[in-house]
Amino acid sequence: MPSTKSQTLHRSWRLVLALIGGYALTLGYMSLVSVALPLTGVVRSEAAVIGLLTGMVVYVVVIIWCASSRHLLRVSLLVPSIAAICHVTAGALVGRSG
Amino acid sequence: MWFLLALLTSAVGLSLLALSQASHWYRVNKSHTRRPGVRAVGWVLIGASFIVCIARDGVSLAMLIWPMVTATVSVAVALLLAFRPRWLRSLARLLSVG
Amino acid sequence: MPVSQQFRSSMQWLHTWLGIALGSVLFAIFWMGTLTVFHLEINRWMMPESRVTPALNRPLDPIVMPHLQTLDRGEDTFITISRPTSRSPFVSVRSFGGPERLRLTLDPVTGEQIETTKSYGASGFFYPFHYSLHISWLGLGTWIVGLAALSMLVLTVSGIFLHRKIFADFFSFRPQKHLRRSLLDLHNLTAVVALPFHVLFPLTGILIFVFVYFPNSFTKAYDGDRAELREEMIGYVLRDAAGEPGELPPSVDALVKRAETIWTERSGQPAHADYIRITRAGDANATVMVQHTFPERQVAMNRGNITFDAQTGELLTDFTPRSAQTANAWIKGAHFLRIDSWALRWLFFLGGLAGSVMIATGQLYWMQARIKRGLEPRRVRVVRGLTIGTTTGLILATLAYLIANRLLTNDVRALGFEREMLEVLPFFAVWIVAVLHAALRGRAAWREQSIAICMAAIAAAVLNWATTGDDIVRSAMAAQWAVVGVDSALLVTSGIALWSVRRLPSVSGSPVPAAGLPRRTAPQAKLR
Repeated sequence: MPSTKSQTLHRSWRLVLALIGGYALTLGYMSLVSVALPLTGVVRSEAAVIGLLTGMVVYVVVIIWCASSRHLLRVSLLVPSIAAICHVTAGALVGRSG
Repeated sequence: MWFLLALLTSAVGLSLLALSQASHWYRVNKSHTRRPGVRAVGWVLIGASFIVCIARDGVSLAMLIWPMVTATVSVAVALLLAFRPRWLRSLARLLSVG
Repeated sequence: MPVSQQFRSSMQWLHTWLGIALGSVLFAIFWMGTLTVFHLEINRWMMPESRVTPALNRPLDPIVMPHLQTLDRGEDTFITISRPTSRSPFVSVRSFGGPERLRLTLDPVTGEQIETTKSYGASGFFYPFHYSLHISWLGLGTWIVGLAALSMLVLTVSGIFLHRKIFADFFSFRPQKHLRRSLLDLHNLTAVVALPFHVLFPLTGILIFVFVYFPNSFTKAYDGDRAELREEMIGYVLRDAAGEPGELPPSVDALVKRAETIWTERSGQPAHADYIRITRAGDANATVMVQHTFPERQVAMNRGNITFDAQTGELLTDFTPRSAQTANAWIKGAHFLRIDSWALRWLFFLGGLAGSVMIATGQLYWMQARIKRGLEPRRVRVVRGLTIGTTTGLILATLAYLIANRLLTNDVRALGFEREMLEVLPFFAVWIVAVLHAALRGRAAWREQSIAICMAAIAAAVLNWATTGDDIVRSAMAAQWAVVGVDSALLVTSGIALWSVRRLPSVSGSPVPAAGLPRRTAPQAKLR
């Protein structure tokens, strides 16, 4: 398959989105789990580790998603938005569980 | 000793599993007529090697040792099939499945 | 795996891009990790003074207390005592902060100070190489290793999607077919059979450094309260300084015994403390933390952490991990591999070698495919130089490090460096020369570097005998299995290299074989 310049550009963008966008989303996901689970009665240290272990799966799935999605524009918008929502929600909930 | 037993059951089990595949069977036996049940016995022996590992080390350690035993033996079987397929023929005969 | 063509092609470029971008780094991490499996054994080979029979569970007080009492302590003095294990025979005492530093290696029976070989050994060189590449600037090395580990996970997942016939090809290795086919077979074989290994190690590698890679995220619930975080997550209690001088505990052994009794009663199995940490050693608020970090009979690590008040001996906290933390400690314990199981250590060593073969064959496959499609010669040269240089070249560099260790003496000084650095310099010098050699000599470099590996490995084993008098038979008679193991591994390496040399074609018009597993016949027409 001959790779054209625009294809290389698209793939580079997917990779940046996957690694950096995925990182932001994973951080947001972990923060959210860490503050949300204790509200349901889970001990803080356990919530942290659960967020950590599942967070790794989330990161890999997001990378595969960014690399393979047919709708590049959609993932380009969705990944940062989900990351932002996670971070904002986690920020709002922090401190509630005491 | 237990470890050797685990290696042995795994080796025979994986060899049978390999022999249950048409291309490997032909390479070893130079015949297309296959005996039934080879695959089932193979799986049983692979399961047996897991049980031997558990008996030796307990579940927690066996969950690490057994996959690595399987991996190492699988590479050995693949190399045997590639370079010394006749060795597996004697095994097949010994078990009267050839 | 049956997936859509569009999805497969996206996995294809992802696998190729990450593999080519980080292949050489991944190979170095895998190779160093493989050596690190036996780092304590290689230490004993490199530091002949430590080739003694370990004396376990001896009292610590007569050994360490005289040194601690004469130490000039302050409120920011932190002391770590490690007890001897069956794999590392000495008591080690280290202190950080405060007006005076301690760095002692002590005989567990006589208390005598051991003057060990001035060398980084394997624990100070291969081990940090494995997780930091020795790039300490801004912690960049650790981040590169983290990126490589993440890529390894993505490579594994995308590889599964790319592989068309995982089960049908499970045992397939067809060396009689053309070179690219056999390279791909070998790549698939070493990847698929050791799949759990290839997921476990990068994943736990990231988890071990999680406080670096994901700061202030999974611990968000603590809202920046570091003291509470440390106490709840790892059981580490650090009290504020009282500002008044305080005494050391009268007996470390008494506290160790109390902690061990608590753990043994709780779990029903004997538990041996391995690390003892004294915080704020010169202050009235000093604490003594007794840790059960690496149990001998359990995979899971960090089994217990008990803190006492250093002055009164009062029990302050008794930390045991809960269920999710235990799961985390189990997979991390698998990576640290301190459990007393030689079977597992050798199997993980083989797993590391399988991973190294997988990475090298992946790179070679890509290179051969490129050559077939007509990659320009200059770029072939660069890629080949990197591939050969990071595989056989890295093995040669490792051997150069071991040889330098056996040739140098403790008082040697050159170019303004002490012995430790003078052992490391040959490593990097040989590595750079190997890369250049590979770039200049092309395909012939495989054969030539294999000859060099064959000779260097023999030389290292012979030098060990010449400088210490420990030949393999004598080491075996003295039950020095660490030394026997390293010497045997060197001889086996030499044998494999010799086998490769004999199989590798000597003419430069022949194809590039896989590292260590070259081809017998060469379909030369297909390749440049």
